[in-house]
Amino acid sequence: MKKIFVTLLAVSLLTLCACSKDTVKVSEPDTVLISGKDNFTKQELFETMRGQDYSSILIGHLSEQLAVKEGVALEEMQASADEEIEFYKSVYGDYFAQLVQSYGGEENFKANIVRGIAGDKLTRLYVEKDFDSYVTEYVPVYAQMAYFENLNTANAVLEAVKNGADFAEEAANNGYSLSADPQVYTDKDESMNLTVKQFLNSVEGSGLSEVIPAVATTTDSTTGESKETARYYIVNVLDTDPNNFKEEFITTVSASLDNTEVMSYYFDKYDVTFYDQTSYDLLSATYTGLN
Amino acid sequence: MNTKELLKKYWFVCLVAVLAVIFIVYYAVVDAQNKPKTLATKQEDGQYLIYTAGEDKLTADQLYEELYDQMALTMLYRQLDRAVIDASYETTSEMKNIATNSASYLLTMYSKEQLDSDLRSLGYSGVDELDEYYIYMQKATLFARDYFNAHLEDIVEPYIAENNSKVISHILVLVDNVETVTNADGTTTLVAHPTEEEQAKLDEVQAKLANGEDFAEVAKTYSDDSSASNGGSLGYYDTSVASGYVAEFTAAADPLKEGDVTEPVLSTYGYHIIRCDASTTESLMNNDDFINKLVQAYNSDYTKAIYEKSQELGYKIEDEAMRTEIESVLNGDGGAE
Repeated sequence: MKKIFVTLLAVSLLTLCACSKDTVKVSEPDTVLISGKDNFTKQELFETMRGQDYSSILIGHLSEQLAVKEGVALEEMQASADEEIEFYKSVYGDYFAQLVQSYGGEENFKANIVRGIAGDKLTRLYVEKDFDSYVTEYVPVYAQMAYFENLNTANAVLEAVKNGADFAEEAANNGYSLSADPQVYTDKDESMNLTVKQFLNSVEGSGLSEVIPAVATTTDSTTGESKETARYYIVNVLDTDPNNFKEEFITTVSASLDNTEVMSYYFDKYDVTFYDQTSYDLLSATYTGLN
Repeated sequence: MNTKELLKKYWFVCLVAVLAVIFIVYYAVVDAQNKPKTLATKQEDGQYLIYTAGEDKLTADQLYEELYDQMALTMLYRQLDRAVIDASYETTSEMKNIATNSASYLLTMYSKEQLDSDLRSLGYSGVDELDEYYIYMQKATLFARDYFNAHLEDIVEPYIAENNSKVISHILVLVDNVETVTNADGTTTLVAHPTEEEQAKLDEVQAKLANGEDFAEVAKTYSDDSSASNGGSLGYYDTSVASGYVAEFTAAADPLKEGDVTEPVLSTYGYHIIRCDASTTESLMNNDDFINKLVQAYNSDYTKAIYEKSQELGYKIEDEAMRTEIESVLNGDGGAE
């Protein structure tokens, strides 16, 4: 009987041990922050604050640490952050102090900027490691582009550019309201006119196109009705070798990437391992690669 | 003794041991596979870790410091507010019933996950405290009512006068065909072309009201507005919410005094019969919507009242820097950086 009792007791104790769960604690967790009828402790404040969505804080810390692991100098990111802060100060003036208050002060505001820079750096590095694959996928061309709804205007602009006029200036002077500055155009650009896209996909080498007639479907903002409009495009291809406009192409691809894909890659690469259930649950709903 | 004899002698112990092994294997393997991933904590140099990334890490203390800078002020005040509200009033069985019913209703409208997340953001442990949240809301309204009752002359009455405060209900009879006619002087007039059914409905509503039938019951039966289920109540109304209503409605509602009922008012929707449910100080002070409106309008005074009450009840923010920060914000100094 005694042996049976001891066996049962041992099994119960083993089971209890398996069921108990340690939780992440701050140091001096029982420090009383609010005293009164019921004390409110430091650990309780920690748990309450973690009821908010602090995923951006976690991602920020991880971005900074992983960017440094990838060879990005922390001093370089901090210097860029300082420049940004000077810009904010020049724009916001006296309001800057109020702006940084929500971050807990200028130091925290700067730390936040550094982490944003780190995230951008990681994305660029992610693209750069598979540069050739992205070139195949995106088919990039470095060019200037403008369109006009009047054929005579398009012909006049083309003639002026052939005679040495600046492409962007000439386009603006003739009513083109968008930017005709050099930029990267890719096959992934869903807003690009199909006729122009076909031209860019087939172009070999740099050069000024002739006027490319195309049809654009636009929506009347008042009536909501679709209508077709004739457009006359001029394209000035500056370069078709992506290695010559690598940084611009990486910027274009980076802007189109989902941040979760990038961060998930680095989480897996650097074996990011969580020991806090709350933080893990917060990120694992969105990111893979976490342990 | 051979194995057979051992088993025969100690069969019960063997049985218990086999059951224990099955039990442990089940919870360790089978049940664990069905549960979301459960992490083991880890400490380094006496500090709990949030994560590691190679040799880099984030500790619980580092996370605490960062969260503290961003939200401790709000969270501590919120905690104080809950403690004061809870301590100021007994939890009655009526409050519990209302809370249970409200919580049950809310659970039919929203997912448990959404409510859990929302409650945690308010400082509760999760959806299991939904009842407690509703009890808090009832007590908070009581606290606010008591505070503003003590400030009828200096806050409430001037507010009512300045904002033309009232509580209104309406009965809407939809009319499909309402024409906008442009007059010779350029102004416009609405002209209704109700069908026979629409006119009959309007006539019946008017007859019932003229006969003394209860406005809310008539609204429940006949009104074509979503407020019908609520007896036609549109809640609190004043100059700040008037922009949410059509011009014809506000023109009719603005001058109403408590107890007034309008004749049918034509808008592009149809006919509205509007009643002013409350416009006196006494009636408005019994309306929760009006109390909530006062809390919004006089939030800093209300917040100070909570803090003063907390000190009366013996609560104290132990961290001097945080206490100074909160008092500075409450006094409108903007707080330290």
